[in-house]
Amino acid sequence: MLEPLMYTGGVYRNDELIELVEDLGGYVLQKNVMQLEVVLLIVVPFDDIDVVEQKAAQLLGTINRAPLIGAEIAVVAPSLAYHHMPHPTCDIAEYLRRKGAKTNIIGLARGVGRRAAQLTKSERGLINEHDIAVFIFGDFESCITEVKWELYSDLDIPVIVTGGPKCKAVPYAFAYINGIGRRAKGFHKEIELSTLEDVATISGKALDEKREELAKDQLCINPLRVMDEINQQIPEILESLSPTPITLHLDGMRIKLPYDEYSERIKEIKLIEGPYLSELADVSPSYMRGYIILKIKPKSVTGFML
Amino acid sequence: MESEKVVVESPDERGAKLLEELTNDILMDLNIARSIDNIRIYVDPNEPVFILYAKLSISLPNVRVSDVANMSHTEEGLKLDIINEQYAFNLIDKLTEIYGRANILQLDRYTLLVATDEDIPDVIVFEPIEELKRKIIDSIRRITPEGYRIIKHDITNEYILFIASEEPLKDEWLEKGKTLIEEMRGA
Repeated sequence: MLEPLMYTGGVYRNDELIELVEDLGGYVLQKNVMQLEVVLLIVVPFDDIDVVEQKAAQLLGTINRAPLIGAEIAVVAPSLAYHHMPHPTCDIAEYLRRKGAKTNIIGLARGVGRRAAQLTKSERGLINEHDIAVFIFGDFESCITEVKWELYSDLDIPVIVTGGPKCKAVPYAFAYINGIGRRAKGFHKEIELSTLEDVATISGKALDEKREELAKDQLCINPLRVMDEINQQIPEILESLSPTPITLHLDGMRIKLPYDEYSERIKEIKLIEGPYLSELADVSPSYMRGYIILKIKPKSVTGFML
Repeated sequence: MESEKVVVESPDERGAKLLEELTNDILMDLNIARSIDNIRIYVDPNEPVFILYAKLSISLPNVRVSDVANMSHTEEGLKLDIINEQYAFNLIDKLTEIYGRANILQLDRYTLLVATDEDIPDVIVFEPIEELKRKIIDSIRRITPEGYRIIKHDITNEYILFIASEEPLKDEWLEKGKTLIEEMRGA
């Protein structure tokens, strides 16, 4: 069982922690260097957390649990205008990021209003590539319960809806969180911060349900293992300027390399047990900048597990 | 205090309360809370319509040439010593309009030469009211629900009436706006 953690500390000697994590059989998912500070998203075996905490203390850094690590979350606003930005859209995205998720803010082309609100095909495809989506809506109950669900009703992923008023039932939503709505100020008060915490908790719950669903028919290989193989066999990924060249999903990953150039090489990655990656996973182009989406096949399809 | 300043009327009571908070926050953010008063909002998302009336209390004097610079005649032409640099840009704009760019020379940061022997008429170079009206309209557009893009507005030095909807504006909404103006005048 691997435990997701976030390390925050100085740049000096942070490589010692990375080496320790790798020696323990864990993985480093993301390394963010901000001037003299470094933030590492890591997963380590549950039994070895103490060892990592000791090392972090020795380096004067801190270790926190980050339950959303390994998931990519879409934060969807009806548009990118000042009605939704920077509060609350960016605040929610930032809070989820601090809990370890990779978040993408998506502003819809025709998301505003009641009559014309709709999702384009590419937007639907892009949002469906994520693990879950958080939709940011406004202050009027009738809009949230009667109209706006048309935006997300035919998405394949769980959708969490946020808005201002208390609503009894929001159709098609995994959960509804009130107390956010339209805002012109940040989240500062205790009660406001607890609303953000709710968003993170419920996101975690949605991810857990998805994990349970996946556990019923397990993936034929751990995505972390695939990530490691790609890092080793396609070194160009390390030259990517993106903060997460490989963004993990629960059932696969987004590889930030052009599909046209690299898809064949990725399919031909050979694992030490024998099979090629194309036998274990579907490789398809992403709606995001022509990157690569990799979905790992379940055991029932491949017939074996590595 | 705040609740008297902004009154929101709507079939959706909870939504009205939230919109009231939002309005107060936005006015505070844009530093115009003191020049706008008695805000009455009617919003019905089911129609859909948004009507806003507000009283404006604008008492800012216009800025004239004599407020920005001192004039003196020299051999080279009319010399202007800028005393209030904040409006220097507006002054140069105005002078360019009157005399043309070729007849104006800026010697340094605070000195202008104009090729004329006569005094410059003491015209208005900057109207703070226009700037304030622009800010007020900007803030109202932030308060209005985003999808409401069909807009009719009427702004004077005394009041602003702003009607917005997603559908073509109906006569009854315009009438409602007019009654709001009359009501507030009576009050």
